[in-house]
Formats: sequence, structure tokens, C-alpha cells
Amino acid sequence: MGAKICLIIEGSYPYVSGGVASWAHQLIAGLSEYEFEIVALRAKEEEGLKPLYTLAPNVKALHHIYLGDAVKKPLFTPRKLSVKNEVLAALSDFPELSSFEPLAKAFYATKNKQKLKQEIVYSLDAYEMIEAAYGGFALVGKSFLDFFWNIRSLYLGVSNVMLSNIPKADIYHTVSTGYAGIYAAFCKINNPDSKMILTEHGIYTRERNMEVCLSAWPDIDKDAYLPEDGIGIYKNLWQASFKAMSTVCYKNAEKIISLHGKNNQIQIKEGADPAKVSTIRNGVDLSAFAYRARMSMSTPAVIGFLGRVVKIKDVKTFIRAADIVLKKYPDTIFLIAGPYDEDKEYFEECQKVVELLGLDGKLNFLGKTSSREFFDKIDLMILTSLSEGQPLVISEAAGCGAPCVATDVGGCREMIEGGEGDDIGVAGLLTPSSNPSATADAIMFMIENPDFYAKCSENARTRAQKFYDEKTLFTEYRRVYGELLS
Amino acid sequence: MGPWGFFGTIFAYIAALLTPKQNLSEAYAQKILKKREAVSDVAVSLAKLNYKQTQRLADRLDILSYKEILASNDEFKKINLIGMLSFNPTKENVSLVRSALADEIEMVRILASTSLQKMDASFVSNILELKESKEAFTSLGAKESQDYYLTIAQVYDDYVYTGLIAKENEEFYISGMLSCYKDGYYVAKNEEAMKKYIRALVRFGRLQEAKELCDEYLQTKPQDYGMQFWMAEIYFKQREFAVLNALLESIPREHITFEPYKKSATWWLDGR
Repeated sequence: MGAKICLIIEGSYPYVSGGVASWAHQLIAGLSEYEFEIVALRAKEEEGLKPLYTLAPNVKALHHIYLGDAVKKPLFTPRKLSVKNEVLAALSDFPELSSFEPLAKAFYATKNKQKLKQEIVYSLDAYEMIEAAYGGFALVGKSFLDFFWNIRSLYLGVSNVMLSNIPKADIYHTVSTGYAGIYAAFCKINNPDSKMILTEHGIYTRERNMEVCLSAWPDIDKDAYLPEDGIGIYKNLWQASFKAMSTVCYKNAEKIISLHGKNNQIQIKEGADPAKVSTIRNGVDLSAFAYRARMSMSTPAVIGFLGRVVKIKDVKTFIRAADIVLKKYPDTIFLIAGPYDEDKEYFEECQKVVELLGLDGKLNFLGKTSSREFFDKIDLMILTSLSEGQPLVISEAAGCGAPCVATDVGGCREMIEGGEGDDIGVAGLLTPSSNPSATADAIMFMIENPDFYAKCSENARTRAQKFYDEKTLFTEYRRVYGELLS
Repeated sequence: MGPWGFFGTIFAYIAALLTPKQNLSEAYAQKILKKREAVSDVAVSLAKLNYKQTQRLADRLDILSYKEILASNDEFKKINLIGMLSFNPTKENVSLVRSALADEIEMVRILASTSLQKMDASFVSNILELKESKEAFTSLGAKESQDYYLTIAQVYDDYVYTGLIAKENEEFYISGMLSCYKDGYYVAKNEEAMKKYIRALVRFGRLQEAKELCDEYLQTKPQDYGMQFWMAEIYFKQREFAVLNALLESIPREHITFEPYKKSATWWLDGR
């Protein structure tokens, strides 16, 4: 067996299906000469939770870190927090955290981790630090309880990460910044001979910022005029914390990889060293997808959506676009394939929109389906996501010869129109997000222009073969691992 | 001072606060608090001024309007503003967030889409919940039944008014709203529902339908002068000015108390 890679993933593989999980599974299986240990970060332990993927033989261990893990209250309340000086030093230039390394070492060096955790949660020192922070933010009149629990939930996650064991590995490969990134940096700092790689599919900090912006916080003042007054201290706190995590991760990684050039630019803007930054595209096993040259769409046309039924995929825009298309082409068939148990509430909302618009029977949810069979069945693949990295479904559809209408987010433009050094031609159409009219127009354009459709089908397959074959993915990661190990 | 500067400063302050043998300044924190309060007060006052006054003051006070924030290059400010607006799905806020769909920064566009989705979901779920609870409400009694139809129609109305719905899907929701107002009158016998129904029909240009309903209503309530003025509005939109004039002449002046109606009647009858 070759070197050992510790793959660190937050909220995904092997318990959640999707692009990142598929990528991880594919990478492990493809690089069978390496041993992998997986560290899966989750919010909390769930009884009876089983992996959705069968782990490959070269996966030697599956570890878990639970960010919300509580600790039993000690018999006597500890007075001191043994790492107080290191914490204060690290926070002194927050969110740069230039003194993160001594903090990471202090945590690792602590023999009695249980005791340290109790100090972090229950010590008088820790409580006084929160009190001082409350005073420092001048939160007069605001609830101390709200502040206390916000701060506690923030540092509890980071503490649980740094109180975890470190599997011995030659390379710590994290698939995001955030908590996984902090853990990877923690591992590397305490194993100076090892290396660290970051592969970002989306940009974690920005995705979390979005979620933070849209969440209700206890101190939101909805009547405030100025946004900085309206959003309150908690949003700022969480946004700055995610920024701090990405700073630590970027600083400690030897290689910072993303799926496409656009994200590289964002990484640099977020503070990554340009010399460390590079691109490795996603890839698919094209031999598994039977190519069918398509001269025109079927009669009636079959329009498909393949993906998890979750908010970020904006399935409702697809449903509303279907409604518009059906007014002109009433026989068109619309299919939504993909698991819908991740966000049951959102799935119910989608079903209700279908019901509200009277689309029962014209638009069907198929549930989890074989992507090969699905792409063979459909004429056109639709993606209405609000945010994407480099969606595998576009490559898979392209492998089967099915063009794509996708929102212009993430790497979709590069996959459909081509990027640098790619003059193959368009393989579909791009639309703005949250725009059912534009999506519907694009679908109808494809129906009404068979020559264009046929050309897109051909270009899609050519592009997939040249740029999105998984063989290229494996070659590139072998090269990266090899460089770091030599 | 960038977006993290203030935050970093505060954490540095806390670290200083807890590190022994250092001078502390509570006044610093109080100074920041006072400054933010002052800016808020000014912003509230600005809302009471006219456009010119606002412009002059805004130049001096370095306060940006929402439009200016969204037109700026400050990604951090933009996403925070969009997040804030997402909690209040009014027509103006939807328009502001929608304008951000064309922002050159992808994260701003993504957040704008997600915000619109969130605002949209709040209306859709309200409508569906109300539909599901129709039986429960309408069986409680006449008043509850009347309230029910008005409430659900108002949610449809607000939803259409915000501009959240794609034009092609709008007809469906307009029909839903009109149907609820109609049922509110014919099923629940709510006169308020009839008035709102007629106003909605006029708003969406269904003038003939509005006129017939208005006629029907005025036959039962000829003394409803407010509804007479709505009939006048319909005649105006249909360019039937002579009939409009005759209608206004038939209304006793002493019964016209609502100021806009008074002005309108004066203009039409006393001198154009």
C-alpha cells in the first residue's frame, strides 16, 4: 500500500448523497494505491445512522467528530481554563488568528482532554471571558443569555474539533474550510512532517455567510434603517468566525484546489496565497454512460431535473418553468429525479406548488433513480440551482449526449460554454437564477430549434470526453499527492 | 476600516480587558455605541424630509440609501442588506432584492435569489395553510367565515402586489385572489369582500365585470357613496365621461366627506 491520506469532510460523505460525497467516493476508489482514513464531521451523533456508500477496501478507518458534543458537568466547578493565555493570544488579532498555532499545540498537548473540555464549558475563567466579551460589545439592554449561548455554540464546535484525536497520516486532505479546515490545520500543526491539502467545491465562507444573512437572530432589529444596525452582533460574530476558519485553513494548506478558475479567484480574494492555488476539474466515468446521438427532442419532449430536492437546487423554479412550458406545449413530460428526504419540509412545499399550479400528472417526482437510465430517458437536463460548484450531473448528462439548460452559477458556464483553452462550442443554454420565465424560454428554444439542439448534444459529449473524464481527475490528484510526498 | 476591523478591534479590546496589568477603556465601547445611535436617529429623521433635503443631508452625513448600497462595490454591505430585506417582503424590498439579481458579484446574486425564494416561500406556505384550514375556520361561524375569506384573499393580494410572481404565473394567483373575494361576498356575505373584489377587478382592468358587480351591489345599497365613486372610477377608465358626470351630480354633496372624493367631485362638477 502507498501513503496514507486522511480525508476530512464536513456534513457529507459517507452519510449524505450529493456532488461532494460522490466526488470523495470516486477519488478513494480511483486512487486505490493509497490508504484512506475518513474523518466525518457531523453536528451530532445520530443513533442508527448508516453510511449511504459502501466504503472501498482502501478505506482503513472511519472516524467521527460531533461538533455539538456536550460534556458531563464536573462535580466541582473548575476555576481556571488551562489554555486561557493561548486563547487570548489567538483572539487578540481576530479574525486573522495569527497565534492559532500555539493554541492548537496547547490543545493537543493536553493529556486529559475530558478535563479541558469541562474547563472550556464550565470554568469560571471561561464564564468571565464571556462576560467581558458581553461588556466589550457594549450590549447594554440586550439579553446576556442570548449572547452566552451564541458564544458557547460557536466555540464549542471549534473546541470539539481541537479536542479530537488525530489519525496518523502523510497528507491531511480537507474538502472545505470551516470546521473541517480547522481540524486539518490542527492535524498538520501537530504532525509537522505531514502535509495539508484543501479542495473547495463551493466557497464555504461565502455559503455560510449567506445562511447567516438569511437566518433570524435574537437581536435583529427589523425596523432599523441601516443594515449594520439591523443585523446585530450575532451575524457579525458568526461571519467573522467563518472567515477566521478559512484564514487558518488557507494559511496552513500546501495546496489549495478548486474545481474551476472562478473559484480560484474567490479563494485569492478571501486571502489564499496565489502560489498555492490551482484547479482540478471534476470527472465522470464516461464508459458507464451510454452515449446516444440526439438529432432532435422526442415528441413529446421529456425534460428532466436530476438532483437532491433541497432549497439550494431551487426546484420550485423548475416547477414554475414547467408550468409556463406546458401552456404552449401541453404534452411535454417533466421529471424530477433525486432523493427528497434530506429536506422533507421543502419537498412538501414543492409538492404543494405542483398541486397549486395544477401540474399533477404532468410533473412527476421519481425519487432516487439511476442517473444512467434517467439520462437515457430524457431529452434535456435542467439545473436551476442557486449555487453550484461543478455539478457532476452536467458531465454525466453530457456523457449520454443530453444537453443542459443551467443557471449561470459556479462552474456551469465553463461546462456549458467552455473555459480557457476550450473552443468546442456551446453544449446548452445558461439562464439567470430564480427566473422561471428565462428557464422556460430556454427549454422552448431547444424544442423549437432541433439543429441547435443536435449541435449542443454533440458538443456536450466532446467536452465531457476532453475535460471531464475521471481519468484526468485521478491523474491530477496522483500528481498533487506525489508532489507533496516526495 | 473593513468589515472585520470593527469586530477585530472589539476582540482585541476583550483580550486586553482580560490580560493583567493593561489599561482598559470602557469609554471606547460607549463611544462606539453612541455613534451608532446617532446615525440611527439621523436616518429616522431623514425619512421625514423631502427628497432635496434628504440629498443635501445624505451628502454631508455619509449615509447611503439602500439603492446606493446595492450599487456600490461593498459585497459585505450588500449581502447584509439583502439578508435584512428578506425578512420583510414588501413590494419595495422585493424590487430592491430583485435588482441585485444582476449584480456583478456572484455571491450577491446567489443571496438575492435565495432571499427571493425565502420571501416567496412565506406567501406560498401562508396560502396553503389557509386553504387547508378553510373547513376549520368557516365552520366556526359567520364572522369567522367572513374573516377567513378576507384574510386569504389579502395574502393572495399581497403576494401579487409584491411582484414576486413571474408574469406567466401571475394569472393563477390573481384568479385565486378574486375567487376568494367573490366567495367572501356570495358565500360568507361579507360586504367588505365585495368592495375589495370590485377594487381588485378595476386594478386588473376587468372593468366590465367590475361594472356589473358594482351595479348589482348598488341596487341593494344605493346610499353607499363610496361605491358610487368606484363606479365613477370605472366610467372614467371606460372614457364614459358624460355618464360619470351625471353620476357625480346625482350624489348629494353633503354626503361626500372623504377628502379625495370631495376634490374629485369639485373638479368634475365645478370647473375643469
